[in-house]
Amino acid sequence: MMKSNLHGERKISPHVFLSAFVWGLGQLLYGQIVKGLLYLAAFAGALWFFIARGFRDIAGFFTLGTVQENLWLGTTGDNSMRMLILGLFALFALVFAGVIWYANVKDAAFTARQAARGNRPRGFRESLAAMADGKFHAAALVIPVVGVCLFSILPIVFMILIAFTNLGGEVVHPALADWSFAAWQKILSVGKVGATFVKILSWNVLWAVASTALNFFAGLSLALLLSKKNVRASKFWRSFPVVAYAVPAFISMLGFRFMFSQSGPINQMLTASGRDAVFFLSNVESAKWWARGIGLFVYAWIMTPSIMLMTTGILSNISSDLYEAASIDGASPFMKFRRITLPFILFSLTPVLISQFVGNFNNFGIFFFLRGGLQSNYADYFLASDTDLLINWLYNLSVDNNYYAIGAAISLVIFVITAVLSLAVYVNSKAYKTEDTFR
Amino acid sequence: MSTSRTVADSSPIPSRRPRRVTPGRLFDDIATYTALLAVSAVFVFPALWLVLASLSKTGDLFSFRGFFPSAYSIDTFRDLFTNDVNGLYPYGKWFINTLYVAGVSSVLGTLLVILTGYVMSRFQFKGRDAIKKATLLLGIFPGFMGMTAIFIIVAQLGLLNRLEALILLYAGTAPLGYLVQKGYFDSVPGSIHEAAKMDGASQLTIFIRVTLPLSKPMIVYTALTTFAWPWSDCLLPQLLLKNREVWTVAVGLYNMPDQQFARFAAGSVFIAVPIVILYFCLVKYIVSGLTAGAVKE
Amino acid sequence: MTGTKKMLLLPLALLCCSMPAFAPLAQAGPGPVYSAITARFTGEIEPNATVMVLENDTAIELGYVEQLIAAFNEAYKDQGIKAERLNTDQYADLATDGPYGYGPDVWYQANDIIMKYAQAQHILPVPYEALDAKDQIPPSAWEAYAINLQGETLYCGVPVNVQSGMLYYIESMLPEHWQADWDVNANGVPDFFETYTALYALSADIKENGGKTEYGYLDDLIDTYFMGGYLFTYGAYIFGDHDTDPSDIGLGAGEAFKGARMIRQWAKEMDNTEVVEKAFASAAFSYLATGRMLCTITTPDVRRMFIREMAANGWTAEEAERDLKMINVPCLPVSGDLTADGWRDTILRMDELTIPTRMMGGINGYGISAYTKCPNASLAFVEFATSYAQVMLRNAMLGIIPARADAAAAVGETDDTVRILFDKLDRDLIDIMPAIQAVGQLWTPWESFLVDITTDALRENRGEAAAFGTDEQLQAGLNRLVQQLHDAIFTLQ
Repeated sequence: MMKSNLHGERKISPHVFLSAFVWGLGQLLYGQIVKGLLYLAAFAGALWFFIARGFRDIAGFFTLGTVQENLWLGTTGDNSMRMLILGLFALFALVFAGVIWYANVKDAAFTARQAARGNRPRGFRESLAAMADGKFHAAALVIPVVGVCLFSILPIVFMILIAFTNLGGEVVHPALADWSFAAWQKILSVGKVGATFVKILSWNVLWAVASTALNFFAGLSLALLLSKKNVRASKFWRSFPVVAYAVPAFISMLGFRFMFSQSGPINQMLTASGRDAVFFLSNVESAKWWARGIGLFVYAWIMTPSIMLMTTGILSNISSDLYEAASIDGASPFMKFRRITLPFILFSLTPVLISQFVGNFNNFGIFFFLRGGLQSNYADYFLASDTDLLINWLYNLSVDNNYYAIGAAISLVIFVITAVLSLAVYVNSKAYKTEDTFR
Repeated sequence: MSTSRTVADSSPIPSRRPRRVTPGRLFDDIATYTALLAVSAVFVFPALWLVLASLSKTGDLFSFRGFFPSAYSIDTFRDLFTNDVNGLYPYGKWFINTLYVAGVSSVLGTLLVILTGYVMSRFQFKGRDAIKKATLLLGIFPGFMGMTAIFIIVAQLGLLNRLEALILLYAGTAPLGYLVQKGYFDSVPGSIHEAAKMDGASQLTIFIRVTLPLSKPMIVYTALTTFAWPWSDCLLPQLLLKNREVWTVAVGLYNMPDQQFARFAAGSVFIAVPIVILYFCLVKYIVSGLTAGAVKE
Repeated sequence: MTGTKKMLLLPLALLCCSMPAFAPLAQAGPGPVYSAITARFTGEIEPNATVMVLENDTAIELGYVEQLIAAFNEAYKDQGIKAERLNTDQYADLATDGPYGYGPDVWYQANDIIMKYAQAQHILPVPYEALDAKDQIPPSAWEAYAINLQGETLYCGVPVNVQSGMLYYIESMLPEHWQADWDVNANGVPDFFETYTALYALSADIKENGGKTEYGYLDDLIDTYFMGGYLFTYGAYIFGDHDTDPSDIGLGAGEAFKGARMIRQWAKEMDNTEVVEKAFASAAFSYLATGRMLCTITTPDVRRMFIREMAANGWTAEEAERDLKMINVPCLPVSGDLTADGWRDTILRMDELTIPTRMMGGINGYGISAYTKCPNASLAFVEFATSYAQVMLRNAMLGIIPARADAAAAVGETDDTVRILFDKLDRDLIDIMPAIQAVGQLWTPWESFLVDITTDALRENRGEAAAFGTDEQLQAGLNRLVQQLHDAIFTLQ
């Protein structure tokens, strides 16, 4: 094992062995005091963590608790969800400790090689300098990687694992959980959950496609309008959409919710003029397409300005030679748009459009703020409304109703769907196929 | 994509040449300006509505007749800061909390994202591809499903009910969005760095002395976006902040009951105004930032 | 393995397992389970404890909570403890926050919300034997906080006030000459406040011929809490076995369709789309005060909100206080049809043609979190807040109907509302919200059903086809609702 690490170094220095067992010891013996002490401190920290709780946490990861807490009698016990996450954290820490150990051994071996060649071991300051230079990328990425691991990867892995437990419903603290496939059985068995899933999924796909397309074309049209030659003071005109862009999205959404509510100004004006009030966002079957349409509109209102600004920037990158050449060939303005502008913009924006598609597919906010808390009875939606996207549904399931395992299983399904869809689009896109030529 | 280095402000300069008025042009002008007016109305009307609602005298939505309040007064704005209804709506505190969270997250987040984008763009190293793929993958996950876990992690760290928890989360996960910054650095010619390298500067020095000064537009853009997100995010603070005194404005507004519509509107206007002004002042950086993000994956 | 662990979930099995010595006892009063569970209430107040109290927003807004806490701190200064208001959202999530040491020690809420957390032990059973208020609070109020364990009844909250729908109106807004036109039995009470048939007739009349107000009766017709009464009056119930068996959902039982039919009739008559949105509940204050409607039904504890809105519309505080009336809800017709009988007949032959309306009700009270570090100090606070003096003050400041008999009697001397509500309680005309966890699944599907039938009526008014035009369709709708509730409660378990 040691051998593979040291890439065929003929004779392994005993100091390296020492470092492999007690981190930093080899470095200390080579006289690298500060570095050695740092490794030693890391070693002590790791030992302390794993002995004090790490190993117990890892064990807890597998059992998910053995003693149930009795809150009424005041006897203490285990908390499954906390054990799951602490166990996971300990496993992460184990991997992290492994990385440090590896770095430590490698460093000791490096010093040993230097020593064998008769070079003086690097001092701490030199090592630091090396970090700032040769290993700059590694040093720079430490904090981002740790942050992302802790606050993004760990929660996601946790969620994936939750899908394979029976957590949720009545199995929440103080009850103890177990590893189980029950959630998947419930999702896969055709029934309430399955039927709702299919209904929501089809609307979800429609929403993602429609809103991405709408925002794109609206933004593009706006950019083209503003860049027309006969528009004076385009900066002035541009400022109106920028207002919409800058207003925090949730305020816009709640504002629109008030505007379209049953007692809101639009309905008041309708009734005042002798017309019937419209169920825009109410919990009614007839509101289904109104609410969906309003969702599309409000979201376009929020998103169009940023696409407009983006395309404005890209439009200015199109070489005017292309247009002039096309004019000489007698192309109509529409032809120029169709043959030059659109392909160029589509090409540039493909990655953005894909990430927008994914974002729209998982757009939690829009219907949460516009219509939150509804449940459509008329068509047998199970704990969901007819405008809910999958992400809203799983929020209802897992946050409002504590069905954690089911919610987690559904989010895994969402992930697979979005991953496949966006990969398919991406791989087939021009931007991907020609990436290298443009690099 | 060699043209991806963007002009800071790309709006075309209106033609100064005098033009002859022809029926076709006249028609085109009329159509164009009608469209502009319509678009502007669509964008500005809801915002205007909120502003006027915030000046409503009675305060609740149901007393409005038609779109606008029947009587105006600036009392709601005064109430917003002077009358917190026995601690139920301490808007002043919310505002300072929001400013603190957004400000610190923005500084830390910007530093981390710029660093990440720069490293990912300029360095070739083992694991670079893995990181790239991992971030793409992470982006596809319905992120907030990890909220249960985040709640427990934050609780374990003893940071529940603390604004610092939000800062950690916002700044810590900000590097996930490094692609825009990477796109920008990709478009900066490498020759400057090479030259500095030749002169014997270390990577750290290059980053601080050469890269940062060169990437001012990107820094401004990044700072703005990392500021705007905590400024208006509602879900994460709702999850982690329990006491009203530590809420951010978004949480407070979200939980405001219907009878307090004018207070809601006034609070919305007050939180929206600074960010709108920022966007206005920095719009050219936004354009270049958005474009830089757009041109490279 | 899963099976065995699951078994442990039930509190009953739990106690068996941790205290194997107990054999299930069938006895009513305090027994060994009671003494084991309430053992931590030693009576010794934890020194320097701070009791975190979560109160409801209205009580905070109207300034009562501040007074309560100040009074408690003054009274317990010598004992070295104090109370502090927990300034969080009034709906705490005890199950999520509690294990991490957040959330209230003492929590004031409606019984269904507190009891949602009782089954999983997040709320402590109170040592009611030791409470001064024990005998003052009627058993029907205690019932709202009852939980059964091994044959013993434990109570997870101390009742403070009784909530149920009351009819609010402003006296000066009554139609001119109502004494001549609308008092056929000459009892001094407007007929339209005696039977729903008459109220319907009045509302139709106002709509047709105009009046001081734009509408007669308007209400949030999709509010399960207030509309539940229509179903209950005709034989429906929520859960079987005294609201403890969620597998038996009775919203479609008896002739519940009659109730649904009348809700639909109201929607058709009101012909206003605002009443099919929840927001109407808060719109109602200004609707009443601005004279858009004559009357509406809501709980006693929001009385102040009407007064405030009236004060903003030209009344002085004293005038508003005198002018705003809160009375019992009218009787429902036996026929289950608001238009079947002549309204005068329903007044003159009231016993024969009408039945008293059942209403859904709630008992608000204080619960103690199981995560509290200072159970004895918390109990001291609960005792203080449920004392005669504090309940009287709460009544004076918020208009609540006290659950304590002595306070209720004192308030009842000047306020008929108390008598009305207690009378209804005594005659078993108030169905207290169930105190089990499954109740959380109830509201959304039920509300959706109400939306369905009310908007159906509005659609019919516009000349579209009706989907709930017949009794069979209504009953089918109710049956479907029951099925949905069943699914919501059991599908994912």
